[in-house]
Amino acid sequence: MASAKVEGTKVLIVDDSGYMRQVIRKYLEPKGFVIIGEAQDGWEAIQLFDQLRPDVVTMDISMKKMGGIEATKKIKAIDSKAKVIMVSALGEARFIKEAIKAGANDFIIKPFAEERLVGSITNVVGK
Amino acid sequence: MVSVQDKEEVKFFLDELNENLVYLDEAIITLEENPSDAETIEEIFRVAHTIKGSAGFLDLKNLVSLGHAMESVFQEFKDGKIQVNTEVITTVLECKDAIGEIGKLLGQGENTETVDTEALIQKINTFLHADSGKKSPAVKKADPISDNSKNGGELTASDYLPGTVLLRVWVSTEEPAPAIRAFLVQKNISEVAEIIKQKPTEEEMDSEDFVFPEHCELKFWVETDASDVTLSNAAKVDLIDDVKVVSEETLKSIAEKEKPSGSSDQKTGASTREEIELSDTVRIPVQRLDIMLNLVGELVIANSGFSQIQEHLRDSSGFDELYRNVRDRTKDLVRISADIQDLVMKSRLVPVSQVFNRFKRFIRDYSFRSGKKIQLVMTGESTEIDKKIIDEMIKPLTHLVRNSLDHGIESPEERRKSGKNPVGRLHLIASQEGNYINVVIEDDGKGLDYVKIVQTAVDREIITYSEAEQITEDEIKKLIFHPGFSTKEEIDEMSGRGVGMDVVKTSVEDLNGTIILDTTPGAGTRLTIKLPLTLAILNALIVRVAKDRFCIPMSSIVETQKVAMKNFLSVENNEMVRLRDSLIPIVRLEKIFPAEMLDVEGENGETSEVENESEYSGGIIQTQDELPVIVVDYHGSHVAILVDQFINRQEMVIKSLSEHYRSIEGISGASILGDGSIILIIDVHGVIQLHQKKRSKTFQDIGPGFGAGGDLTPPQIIQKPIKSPIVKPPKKTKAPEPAEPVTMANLSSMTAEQFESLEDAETNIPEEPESEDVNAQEEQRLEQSDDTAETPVVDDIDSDLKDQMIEDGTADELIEQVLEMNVLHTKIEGEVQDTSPLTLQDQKLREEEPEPIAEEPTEMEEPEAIAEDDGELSEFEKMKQMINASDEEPTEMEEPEPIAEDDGELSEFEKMKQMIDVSDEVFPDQNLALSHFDASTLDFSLINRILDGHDEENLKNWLKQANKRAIEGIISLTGREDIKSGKIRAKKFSQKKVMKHFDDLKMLQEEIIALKLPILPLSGMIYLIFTKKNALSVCNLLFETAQLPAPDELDYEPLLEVTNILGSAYTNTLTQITDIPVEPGLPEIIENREEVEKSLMDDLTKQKHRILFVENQFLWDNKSVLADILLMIPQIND
Repeated sequence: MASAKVEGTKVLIVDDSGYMRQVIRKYLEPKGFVIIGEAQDGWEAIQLFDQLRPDVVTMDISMKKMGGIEATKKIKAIDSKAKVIMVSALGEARFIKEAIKAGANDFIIKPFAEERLVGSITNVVGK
Repeated sequence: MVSVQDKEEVKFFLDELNENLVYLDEAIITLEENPSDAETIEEIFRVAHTIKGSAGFLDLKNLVSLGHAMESVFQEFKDGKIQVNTEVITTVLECKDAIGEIGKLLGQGENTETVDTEALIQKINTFLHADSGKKSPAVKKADPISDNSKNGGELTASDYLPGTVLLRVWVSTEEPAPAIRAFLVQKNISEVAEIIKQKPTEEEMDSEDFVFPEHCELKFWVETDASDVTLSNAAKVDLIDDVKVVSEETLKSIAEKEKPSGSSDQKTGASTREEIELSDTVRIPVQRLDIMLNLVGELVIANSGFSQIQEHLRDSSGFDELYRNVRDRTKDLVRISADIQDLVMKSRLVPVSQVFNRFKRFIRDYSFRSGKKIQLVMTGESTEIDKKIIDEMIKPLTHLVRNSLDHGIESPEERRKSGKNPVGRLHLIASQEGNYINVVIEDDGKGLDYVKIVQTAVDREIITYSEAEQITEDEIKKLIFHPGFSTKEEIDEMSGRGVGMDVVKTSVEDLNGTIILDTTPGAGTRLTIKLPLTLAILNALIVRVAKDRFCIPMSSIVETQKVAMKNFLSVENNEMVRLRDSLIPIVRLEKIFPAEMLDVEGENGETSEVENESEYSGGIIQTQDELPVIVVDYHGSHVAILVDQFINRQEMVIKSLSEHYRSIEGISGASILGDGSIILIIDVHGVIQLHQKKRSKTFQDIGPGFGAGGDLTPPQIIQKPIKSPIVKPPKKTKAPEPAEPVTMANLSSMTAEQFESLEDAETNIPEEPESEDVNAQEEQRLEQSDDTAETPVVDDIDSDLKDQMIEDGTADELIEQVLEMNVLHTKIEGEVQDTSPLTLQDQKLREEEPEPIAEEPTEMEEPEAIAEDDGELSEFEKMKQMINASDEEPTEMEEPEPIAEDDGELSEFEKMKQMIDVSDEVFPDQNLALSHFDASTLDFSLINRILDGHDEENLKNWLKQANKRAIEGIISLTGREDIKSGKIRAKKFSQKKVMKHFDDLKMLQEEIIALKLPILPLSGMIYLIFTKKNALSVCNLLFETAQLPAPDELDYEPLLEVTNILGSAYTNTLTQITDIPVEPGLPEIIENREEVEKSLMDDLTKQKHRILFVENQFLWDNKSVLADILLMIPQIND
């Protein structure tokens, strides 16, 4: 696996919890990731993805309006090379698998440590 | 993992937690009421899940357990395994409370593990369906495989599968969900190779009881042309410790060497439910917003400095270009800061539901324990109010609700006996009214027990027996606001303890609000609390005292008057003023705040000094025969504050006081005027107390308060029974008038003794001093808490005069011609009446002396409400497609140019104008800026002339510019260059015509919506009337522009947008044309025909207006959309 250049990797955070978005941002920013957007539902995520073309999207699964799986599908339809990492909880295995089928590149289980998130993004972007 | 030590994180977490808890409270109750509400179940599940998820980050184990327990319950609700019932709901509420408790401890930095959740969780488990969810809650993070040797697991002969390559993938022990990891790896591999066989199998991986293979190893036998690197890369995702590709040959050789051996030990990977989050937005501490607001206020003020520079440049020759540059830049600056101010202001607003919703739970619990049945009804809970205010109101509101429950609503039996529905009803209502929010608490209980109240009051020596005998209903109502007054005989668990209504009242008043009590014995009680929209802005009257200016919050003012000298007298060494039938004690501001006391440095090192008194005379004629008096309420009594001059009325951005000032009693804050000077805000109650202190030093022998007339002493310092607080007619029938007019100067310096000596001067007091005073016009009476500056106006003003002028149709014709521009048709006709905004004194004057008004007939044509001709009627027909779409985006706004004033007296006016110019730029849907001032100080003749058709050129100009502005605004809002202006036509309307027009509207059979926009400071208004259909099409256009899916229902936001644009287009251009600073206020949506009609009629009957009816059409997509605009501008003194 190529060791990716973390610096400047553009991340779109999708989560309906402000707290979660904050956590993710807090983990990533000091590492040199650039949070180019935050979306609180799948619908917003698609809009922002199309607009901002992030290198990677961290995607919550259950959200109002449009969930993460649907959003992942749509994003993949916009750009099949889009990198999407599902950020989810244990117990949602079924959904995560569905998301993987929909094209999600990786997943992280909440609660997660900073290295997890960074590792996953680095890995996904490095591919 | 986020450390609990990380304060910021914790705070963020708690904010969200608290928000979720408030939601839970409400939702759980909602669910109980409607057990089959799948949506609510789903939502609660999500929220519980969110709490659990976030708590996991802070490693709050018991919180996670509770979240999980709740989640399990709701999962079972979802699955229909268990039913919603009171018992479960009660337990769930207990869980919620425990979560709250943990949150609280966390907030205090204490150990959260002290909250015992075990019992609760056990209890929850008893509800759960037998074979599910009883597993212990899942705090445990996945603790997958304890022993994982990446290289462990020797290959055996059984690993050989002819024709395949073996991919060995080792999953990290850190992976909490190895099954999914395996699935991901499998999927990735399948993209580059064909998987012939895998271990574990797909079925195993899918199974809920998936057990991880030995050594966390996944094996995939694949057929592929891909290189080892490709294969390896595909498999190597995050949390995969290692991947090895074993060639067919290697496998074969192993198989040949060895016998198959080994079996799989299995280890469990933990698997529990979990999910996600819910919430939104970035949180900003209110303090930060306060600071921002403060800074913005300073920015606005700093900007006015530029306006001055700009004027210098304009007036100096040779700087034309520089002047224009500066002007344009200043304009931008002013506009931007106004926008920011507005935004900051808005960001502080939260919906009242945040508080209202708390009562759902409260009432539920109360019902349970008290046996009373209560239905809670809420109206207008989405009304927004300043966060700080609503926070402060939680306690008082809770108290009031408790009161209603305890003392208002009867037991079901009692209610049945009195023929009422056994279920009591508590109604919480919030509504916005200008810059105020009304919060109403209404119950249908037994109302106040007057007898009991009076009895208690007598028992507690608040009133005497003799007073009790003649006490009026109003007086009784006031009694309950007395400190310590409470009819509660016992204190029970649920009820407030010893907190009286006086505390509630004080809390409300501290927020510059008011509280009114209405009660109908036997039928219920209603408490109306009027609160300012925001604490950051104060609607205040600016007064001058000696050389200082002060502002007095409008909320404290009962009325303002100019009182003839003869009505000032001294009673038993107390200065009093006679107002109508009352003697009201006087407080002199200059004595409370001697000039030298305030000659300290303010924040800017400046004092608000008045250089030249004449500067302040504005439009108010000042004579020495009268003194301005402000009547304020003090614990139900009236007190008159004597000042030297009323300057104007204004909305001020409140600044925090520097330490130095903070210690000054009687001052509650400060603000900065447009000229940069600091102005202190009077704390009315403080001032009165201060006055009393000073007096008691001087007149210790005189006893409490002020003696006859009003009772100034607040009950808490009363030593012995005193009189009812109600101001009664003076006992004295004699009141003196000074032999010769007392000048302001000597009056203010007069001692009590001197004052007393005036007593002998005259004995005959006229009933209504103002009625015989030629200068009655100077009296100013401001309605208490009236922020919209609307003034009721007498209806039957000089109707003769009106009739006389109506027949004169010339104006109509003129205007008709005027507006045939690029527009198809224009017509104006009109009615004019004589009304001054803001001040009631003019009204009074008119009532009494119609002649002075008639002196200005040129501006006052009053075309009668003559039946319209056919042509006009057909126009009404066309209005069937009414709608407006117009826009004035703030960025497009132009600042009206400051007018040159050469008159020295006008320099203050200039200053005001600067301030107005600033506020003019403010985004139109707010009137929070420094905008309100006394309209009577301005010259409105130009506006009048335009509306009356005497100034065709300007009328034409105005409508043309307004239309242009509107269309520009719309284009910039929508980005649609293809939107064109259709026709615009204007008609002058009479009241009758409006009514008739309305009748025509009725015929349309279409639902209509009106947006009403006040024109400040004129107390005029703009009505935009839309048919619902057209409103929707405007709405859709904006959604389309924003590339958003159009909502199914009418969304008012876009309409408000459009209204603001249109409103400011009309007002700003009017300002541009006339140099009279007007601006749109806060728009109000009026939803259906009946309401529109009612509102329109109200306004029409309350006030006489010049009415301009404008149809303004905008076209796009070949659809025509019309704006039906009714501009009502009150008659203004010319």
